[in-house]
Amino acid sequence: MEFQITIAGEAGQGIARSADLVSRDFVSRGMYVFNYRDYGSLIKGGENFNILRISTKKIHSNNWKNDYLVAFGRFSDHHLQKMNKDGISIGTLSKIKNKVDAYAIARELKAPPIVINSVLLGALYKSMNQPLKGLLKQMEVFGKKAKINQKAAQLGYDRYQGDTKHIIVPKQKNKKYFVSGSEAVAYGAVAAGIDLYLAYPMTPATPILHILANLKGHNISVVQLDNEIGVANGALGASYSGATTMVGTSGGGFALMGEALSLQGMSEVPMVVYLAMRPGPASGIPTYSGQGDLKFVLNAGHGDFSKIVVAPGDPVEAFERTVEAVYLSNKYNALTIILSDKHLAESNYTLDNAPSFTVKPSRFLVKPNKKFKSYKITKDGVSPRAPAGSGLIRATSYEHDEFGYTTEDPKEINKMVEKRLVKAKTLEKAVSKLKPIKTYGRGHDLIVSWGSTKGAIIDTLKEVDAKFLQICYLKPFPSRKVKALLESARRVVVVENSATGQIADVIAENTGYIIDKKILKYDGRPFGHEELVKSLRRVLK
Amino acid sequence: MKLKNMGTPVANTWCPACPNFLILSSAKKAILELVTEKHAKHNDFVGVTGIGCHGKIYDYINIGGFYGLHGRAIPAATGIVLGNPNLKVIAFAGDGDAYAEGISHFINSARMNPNYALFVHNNKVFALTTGQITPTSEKGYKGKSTPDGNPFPTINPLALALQAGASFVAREYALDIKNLTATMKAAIKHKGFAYVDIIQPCLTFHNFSDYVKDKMYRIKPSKNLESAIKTASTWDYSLNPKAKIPVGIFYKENRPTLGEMFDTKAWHKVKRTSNLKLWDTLRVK
Repeated sequence: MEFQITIAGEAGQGIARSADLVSRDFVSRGMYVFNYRDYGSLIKGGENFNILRISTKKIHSNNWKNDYLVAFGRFSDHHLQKMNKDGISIGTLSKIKNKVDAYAIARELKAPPIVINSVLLGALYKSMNQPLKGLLKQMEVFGKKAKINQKAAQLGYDRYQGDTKHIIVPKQKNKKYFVSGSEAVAYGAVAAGIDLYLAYPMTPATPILHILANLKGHNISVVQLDNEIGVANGALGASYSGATTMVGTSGGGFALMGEALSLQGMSEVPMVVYLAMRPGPASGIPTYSGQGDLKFVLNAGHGDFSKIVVAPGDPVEAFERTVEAVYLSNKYNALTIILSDKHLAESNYTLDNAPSFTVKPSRFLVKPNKKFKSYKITKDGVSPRAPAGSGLIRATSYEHDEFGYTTEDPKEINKMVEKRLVKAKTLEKAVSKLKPIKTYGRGHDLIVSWGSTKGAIIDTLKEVDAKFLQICYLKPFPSRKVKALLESARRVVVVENSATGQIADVIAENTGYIIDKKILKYDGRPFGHEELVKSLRRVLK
Repeated sequence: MKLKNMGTPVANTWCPACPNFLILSSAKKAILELVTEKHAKHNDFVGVTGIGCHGKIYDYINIGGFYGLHGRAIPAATGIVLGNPNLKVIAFAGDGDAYAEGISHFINSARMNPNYALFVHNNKVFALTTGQITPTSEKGYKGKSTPDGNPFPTINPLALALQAGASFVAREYALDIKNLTATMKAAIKHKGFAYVDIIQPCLTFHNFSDYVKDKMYRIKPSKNLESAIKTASTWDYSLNPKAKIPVGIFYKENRPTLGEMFDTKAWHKVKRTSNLKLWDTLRVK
């Protein structure tokens, strides 16, 4: 059993909160909810909406057609055109079929007009023939304002006389998690043991800044510095002092960090960057989603140096990969970039299981002796790292000798460049042990993708006869494993939220394998479930 | 510990007789005295530099060192004190470094009050790139990028820092080792953003030592911001022949540091354990 609700209205009407309440009610009753959030770059007025796809089976994506539409205020007509057969629309405007005079109820309750959202949720529940009890319980989060919202919902429920379309939720009682990608990355960072999070606000990376700043009792300092350049250089300073540090940003801010990424390459001070993509170029579409930064991220920073890029595809991976990112950076004095996007960051997923620790977080710091060399040449290219203050520890942006003193001597230069090349090989080995790729389903044809498209692709596998290759570590690229899968496939198709299908170029560069079939979407919206099934069937027919 | 322990084996490549040598000596002396006075341990000291002639001090002074990017000594130093507030951090920067490339960090650090000393080697010119204008180059200066003379007025970084909220603002002359050393020590001891602009004529590209020589007079620190700004405005970094140049500590104030405001603990004072406790809060009831 599956259905979809869209809650639409004007920004500031409590749309995201209402969607959260309804989601949590259904999740608490054992259903799987996928909550897609669509909002513009504005604070009040303008249209926002949330799509709740609700199912008895595991789902990780939304559709573009609704069984229920609840509109709190003005909304775009396209929602009315996107109704399933027998779909029910409820709202305050006369263009909507089941008009509810929610404002009259608000007045009757002497409540502020905002409570019409609860009135309409009550009406929605009546139209679905769902018990109101669970929703009222979720409304406890309003604290002092809970009572008035509960009353409003009850009246909305009691007085609704419009169309109905009954839903029967089977009885099941297993506790599930309801998680956004942002929560998963933030909590993963805490579990990985970060001491410091530095950021400058930029959608859609900002939720991490907010979540961590509001976290009490973990002794994590969260500081908003003057700009992303300050943030990135500050992170390297903090990391040099010994603190495990993470930063977060989106494309534009990441571009500003470029020079500091390169400084990481030379100084080899651990650095973890969380990058939540939006469509570019430039300011692009700030509150929407895209994967078009891939090639830029892989190649960011001037000069030859190694880095790690990992792209989680759902919240469990977001948590686990964040822990891995911090671990890898600390252990190998590396730059690790966690590549996410708005879709993963700001959608909520329903999960049965908690993530696990694939690695054991550690600081990997040593106590220096008197003759300590900050850039000691070792077999694996990784110099033992000691924190500033434990000795006379050096980190530098210039080419240097083993002590960290500046050098322009050709022999010393070669030694140090080659040390970093050895380290690149070490990173390759380290990443190959962490499931750099995953495959799902079976079939002769192969769908190739990475990042947040995982959800929509996984959901198609019951209807499309194909195997899905998810590339999780994009750098160092798992060339051998990917090539083997590509060569054994009948047909290969790339799915990407971008205009050019950049992963195909990355694959070609690393394996020599050319993929010409691409399913691309670049309007800032994620792939819908039925939409992607159709596209895959067309390409793989 | 002796002064000779404060040096490194690296060969010095500053021009002969460059006033940077005197800044280096003063810094070594200041640190040595602070170690001797048990204000801090040798290992606690960390020098952070930007890029330019000043930055070479990283290679010449025997303390922990972070040789950062051009313009970015300030944010790197901010990160270091956020990571470990127990370190004694000294950021060395040039005038191009602090007032051109890194001006936003300079202003915002004055506002945020991170706990470290900032020493700006101010020769009013980009020297390592062979002589171009910086924001403190006087109008008319014929640099390689401005053969007809610098068309721009100067900024007054002291007045700017004071306006932005710096809690310690000073100016010294590189050739006056005694006073420079004393002010460096005071700056390192100060709790908060302690900024010292060090006048350092460049003998190769911008030698204004004759100009500044007889114009300097010593001042006493003020607790009144307005009068400090007034004193700072006495010289606008031009080569006005009638100007007088106040040197010494202009202003000193005690206020909470960035680390204190964010209750930042040294990383090694916090024990961290990895578990799923937080994740469990995401379970829907």
